[in-house]
Amino acid sequence: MKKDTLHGVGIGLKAQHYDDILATKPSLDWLEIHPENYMGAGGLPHKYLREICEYYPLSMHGVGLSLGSADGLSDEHLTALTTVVKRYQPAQVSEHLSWSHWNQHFLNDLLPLPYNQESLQIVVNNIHKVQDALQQAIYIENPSAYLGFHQSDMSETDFLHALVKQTNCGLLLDINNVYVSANNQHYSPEEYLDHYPLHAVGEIHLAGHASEIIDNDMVLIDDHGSPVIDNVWALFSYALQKMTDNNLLSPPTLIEWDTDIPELSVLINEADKAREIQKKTTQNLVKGNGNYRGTSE
Amino acid sequence: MKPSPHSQQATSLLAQWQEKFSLALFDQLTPELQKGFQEISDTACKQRFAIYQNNVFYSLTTALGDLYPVVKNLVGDDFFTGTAGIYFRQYPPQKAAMVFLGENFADFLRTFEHTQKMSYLADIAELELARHRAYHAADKDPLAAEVIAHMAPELLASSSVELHPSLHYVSSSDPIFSIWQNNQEDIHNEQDESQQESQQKTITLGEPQQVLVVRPIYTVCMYHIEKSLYDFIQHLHHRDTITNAIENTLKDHLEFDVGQSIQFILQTQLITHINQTVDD
Repeated sequence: MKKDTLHGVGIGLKAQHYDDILATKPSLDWLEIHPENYMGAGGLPHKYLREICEYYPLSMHGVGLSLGSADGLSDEHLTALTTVVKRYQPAQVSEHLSWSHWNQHFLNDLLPLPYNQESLQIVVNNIHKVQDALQQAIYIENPSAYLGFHQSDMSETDFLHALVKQTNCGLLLDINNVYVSANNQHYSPEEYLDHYPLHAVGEIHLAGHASEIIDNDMVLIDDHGSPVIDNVWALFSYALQKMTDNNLLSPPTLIEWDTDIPELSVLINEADKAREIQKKTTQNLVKGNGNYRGTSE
Repeated sequence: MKPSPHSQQATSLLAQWQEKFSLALFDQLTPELQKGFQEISDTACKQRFAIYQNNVFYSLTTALGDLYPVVKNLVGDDFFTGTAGIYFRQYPPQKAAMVFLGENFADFLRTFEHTQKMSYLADIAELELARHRAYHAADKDPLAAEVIAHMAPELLASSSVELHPSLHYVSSSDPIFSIWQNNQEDIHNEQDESQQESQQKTITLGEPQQVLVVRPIYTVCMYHIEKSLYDFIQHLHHRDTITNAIENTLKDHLEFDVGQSIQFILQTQLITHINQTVDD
């Protein structure tokens, strides 16, 4: 099993592509899974993942921890995550800045948080708990938002700065989410990146999105069901250029595609495009792991 | 989904807000929750909130449909979507990982008023859940048939056996195995209807069937078995010695064919370990 640190460009591993990947061993630098899909005890998903891990470094991108839940993490889910992480020893583990459960009801969506001191403290405590359980830093992804809240008294980027400072977590910069949220809430995605703590980024996500007209306003929906659009590629270049200007290494980058999943070759083409931009914009160097220093006093 | 009994004691503002947000996802946006949104118009608030409502129900309903394809095919897509909406409101998911979704769907269907005429539907759901659990069950190598063949018969007879962790069985007063099989063509669309004669068999409702589900290696296998064999395997599963399991089965089924049943168990690779009784 490869435990390398990640670099270059990977894609999300989908069950539809298991056989194709093993048969053709495409030139991808790494693969990412949702650990929730491997929380069963055994069977084919694990057989495939074991084999695929012989050839590719692995990243785990959780969708079920609910770091923003005021009623805390599910101990059962954290234990299940710890088991999968121990089993496959991924190079990185990431999660979302969102919430998805309340009163032990799991809503299977990445719901938005108001950003204020109270929610910050809750997310900080939950991240500490996860990092202590996994004994490693996790990477936190900025969400896509369809609503803003009056309860928020700090910006998302200030919130992320505070999370990094208080938990030593790394960040997963989802460029598509930046684009979607900026459009939906009418701010400049470039300005968002200008305020974003780029020094903490250990991974980048790229994906496609859908759109809908609501009340004469174009609302973008983060559905991961189409190619990355030109504006998002441009924003990716903008982020990489800013990192290079600040002497930061180019982070490992992922192509996500979760609905209407096409043939593997489509994802590989998208990965090649991302790699070209990486090459053009920055020196493609290897980035190390996060700077987790533990939380026990 | 109902309000938390502890909601009055909730100290955190975020906890109170998440309760309101969750309840509204399962019902409708309340004016109180909407007041906190930055969007200006009423339409924008409602329709943007609906994106989250749709995401929640679409993702849960899709996952439930993937788990219960035959139930979905039997009732039709629209009815299934409506049923799923009512099910998730009555039984909100209790775990984050979708591999554990829908474990009480059969219980729900047993009492759901709109499917009472389809007496077999809940048992079909139970069968599909058995297949899903077998698919994700722990791996364990079956015991090689030669190991069993080389054991002294009297020693084997006094031993109990461990059966594969993926083993599940479902018994129904309806022909659930046949119904399941008859729906596979529709689900997989493997055959061109204009050229292929239908492989579907005639179903007689009210004909009981017992089904055994097991995944000895990686493929989920399913067998329609006689009631006597079904009872015999249950006795073995409860750790009766082989002799006792045979005797207990014969009590209820004089027609029980011991030789054929043992052969079935060996062929289907159900046994993973033999616990020999040690005589002093």
